[in-house]
Amino acid sequence: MLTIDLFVWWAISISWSIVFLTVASFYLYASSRAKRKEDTREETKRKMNDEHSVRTRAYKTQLKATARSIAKNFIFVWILLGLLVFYIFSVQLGTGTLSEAVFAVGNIVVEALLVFYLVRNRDKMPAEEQTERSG
Amino acid sequence: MMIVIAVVLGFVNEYRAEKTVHDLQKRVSIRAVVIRDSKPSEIESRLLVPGDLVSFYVGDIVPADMRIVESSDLHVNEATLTGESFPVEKTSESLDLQHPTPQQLTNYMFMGSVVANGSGRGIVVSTGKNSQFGSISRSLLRSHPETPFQKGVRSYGNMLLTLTLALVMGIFAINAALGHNLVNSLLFSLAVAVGLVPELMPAIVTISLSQGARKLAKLKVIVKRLVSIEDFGNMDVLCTDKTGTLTEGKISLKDYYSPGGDKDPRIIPYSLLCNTAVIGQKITGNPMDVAIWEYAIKNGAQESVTSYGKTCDIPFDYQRRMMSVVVRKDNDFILITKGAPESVLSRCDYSETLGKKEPIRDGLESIRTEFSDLSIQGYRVLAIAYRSIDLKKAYTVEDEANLTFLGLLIFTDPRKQDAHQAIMKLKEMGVDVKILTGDNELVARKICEEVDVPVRKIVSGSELTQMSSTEIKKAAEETTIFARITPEQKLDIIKALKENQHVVGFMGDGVNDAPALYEADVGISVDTAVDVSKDAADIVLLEKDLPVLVDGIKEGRKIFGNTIKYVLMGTSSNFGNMFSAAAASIFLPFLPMLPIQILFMNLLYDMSNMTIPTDNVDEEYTTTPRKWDIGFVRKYTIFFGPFSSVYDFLTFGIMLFVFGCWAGTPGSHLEALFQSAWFVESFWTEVLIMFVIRTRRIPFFTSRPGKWLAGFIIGFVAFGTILPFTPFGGFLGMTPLPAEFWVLVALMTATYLFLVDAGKVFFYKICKF
Repeated sequence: MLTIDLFVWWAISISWSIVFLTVASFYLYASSRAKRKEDTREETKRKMNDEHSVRTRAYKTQLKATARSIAKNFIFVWILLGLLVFYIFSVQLGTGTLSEAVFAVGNIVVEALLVFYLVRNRDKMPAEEQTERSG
Repeated sequence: MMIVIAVVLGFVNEYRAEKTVHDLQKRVSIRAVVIRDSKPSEIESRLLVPGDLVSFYVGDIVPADMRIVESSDLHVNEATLTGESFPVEKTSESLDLQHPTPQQLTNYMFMGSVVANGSGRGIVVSTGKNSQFGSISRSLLRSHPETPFQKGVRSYGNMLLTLTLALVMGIFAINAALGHNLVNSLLFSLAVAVGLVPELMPAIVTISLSQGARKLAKLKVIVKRLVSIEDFGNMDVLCTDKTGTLTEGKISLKDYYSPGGDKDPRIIPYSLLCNTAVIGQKITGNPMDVAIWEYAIKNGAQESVTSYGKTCDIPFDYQRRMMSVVVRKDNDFILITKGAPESVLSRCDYSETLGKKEPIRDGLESIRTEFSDLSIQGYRVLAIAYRSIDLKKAYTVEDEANLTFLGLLIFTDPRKQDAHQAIMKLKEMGVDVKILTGDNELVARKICEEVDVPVRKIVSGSELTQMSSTEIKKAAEETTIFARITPEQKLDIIKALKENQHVVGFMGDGVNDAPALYEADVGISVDTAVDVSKDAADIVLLEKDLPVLVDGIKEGRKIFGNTIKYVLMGTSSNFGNMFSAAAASIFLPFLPMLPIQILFMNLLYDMSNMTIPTDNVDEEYTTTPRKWDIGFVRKYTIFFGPFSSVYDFLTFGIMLFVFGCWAGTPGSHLEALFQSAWFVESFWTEVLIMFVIRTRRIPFFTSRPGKWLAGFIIGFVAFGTILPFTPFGGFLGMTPLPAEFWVLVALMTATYLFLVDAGKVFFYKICKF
């Protein structure tokens, strides 16, 4: 039987770390977008003369693109949140159960997923840098 | 300890400044011929006073700033003061100029310049510290400005200090409030503070810098001030003079031709005959005469003069601006004249090309236009003419008449062959090259065009004097060539670029360059430079070549890259661990790790990091200049720190609820089991994460670490693994861990490494560095 108070303390601590990381990610993402907007303000000003309908269409497209990009860009956050649920569940199983086995298997699955994700992103960074530099 | 370091650094700075001034004084410690009470006498130049009348001759170093009152074919080499390669002609004629630059003051001589030709007299206007030379020495009597790297280290230290103080005070206060043992709480909070302090930072930086200095020495780059290596790599603007960098810094005969463009075969032999160069083991004398000889030797034309015999000289003088010789070939006597084209042409009646002689009046205008165009482009031009003459007892200047114009000799300071390639490479590496020269804008533009430096804007020294500081900052940003500028203006440009947040390198070798070398983030001089410049510089090149700079910059970037790795390690994984320790101490019934365990782990972690300076740096990291961005370090901390904490808390959970440590009490076996487990997990993650943090590549294993670093990391991880099983581990309060734990910690660590790598995909996309 677990000491519930201590377990709750622990669950709060690990969740808080992941929540902090998630919030930090969104904060960094938002501030980088704000900075990018700041950098391109002059360009935007020039484009202000474009027709209203064009702008509306562009805005809607941008919204859809933003939703997609948030889902895509924050993959590691979604993995982390999934891991949090899994870790709390497997640890909660406690002493003398299958806790260790569940924990081990879960980690191996997550590692396989992460390696797949990393290999898919393998050449992305240098290519982006090249584009930025030439731009 | 810190006080001793501060005192030593202060002394070194002071000593360097004093030595610079001493060298400056040594250079100008010369004697001068002064005329007092109508009697000439030789005195030490320091005894000169304004108003003294001084005589000077070829080879003299000018002892004070003087107004010239008499001159005879006077040419002065002001290269060390103004950067101009050619000796400048000086006269006593008065000038009517508003805000003249030193280069425009043709009736003025400056202390420290050298009389290249002729003689004259001048009245001393200013001496010692009041001279142009002296104002340079005054500007060096101040401490070296803080470099961007030093500023970065300072702001990093401040950031860590704030974080550590807040964390430590928080831990102690909360532990005390919760009724934990006060002494233990204090020791624990102090151990956390020690764990957070990047005590190896100075060692890592020093080892990196000295290794870099050794590598650079092999590339013929001597680093005088170690700290400048990092800024050398991060430099994004390089200001350099033209002479000796883009050009060879030596006058050479570029071409010669007769009217119409043909090359009369007599031009070179006649120029060799009408020549004052002294031919010994080395050819010395007037630079243009030397250049003619060098050209002839290179092209095998020196033998062409053996059939001639020289019979008479009519020496050069300022009024005529030309010289003549009478030579004999067989039974014919020829008078050959060489000098300033306008003077020679005024004495010519004919021009001749390949034996075809015709009156000069028809082609005179086109010859003059040709000469004028060449002068505008920065070439020095001499004309050569001749006439047949009868044998006489003596020849005079009156004989320099009815001459036949033979052709023009064109001299230049040729561009360096490798300058273009080096500039393109610097551009690729994100380094903007700006030319700061004492030469005029046309000469500078021409050289830039020859070496293919794109010229955006040219600003002259006189234009700069009219500008406000804001305008100078704007001009510094937009301008490629600053021409006809003074030492003070060089300094202003460097300061403006620094205020525009650039890391500025300045390359120079003259006395006039010393203040700018001192002010720049990276002062680069050459071995052949005057002592003052070498002393004021941070880096001395044994060869004045741009390509060697490219290698140096790359090395600087590697060193910076390795230093940053240590910083990022300290602010992410290490910080996350200490944060977890602080948080866990609040809800655990015992300390998550004993203070001695924290300190020992910190020692092992530091030792594993000692090999960071030897690590490989990814090639792509060295392609752009980087700046120490404390904002980036802060973002890195808040993003990657929690990753480490998550896995620390996970270890706590496993030990408490899977291995049953929740029932542990202070001093129990379960407490030791918990602390040992966390020691192993935090040490593994803290040290192994280096493989991920050291590269921006995804996945991290595509970047090969240095063999020493990899060896140390694996070695220390192995040591940390066996430690709980050893008697020493027992001494540290550890206990052997169960086999299941090792499987789980291995899997957790692997997940942690891959997760941080996945986090890098996101982080580097939004945070540029």
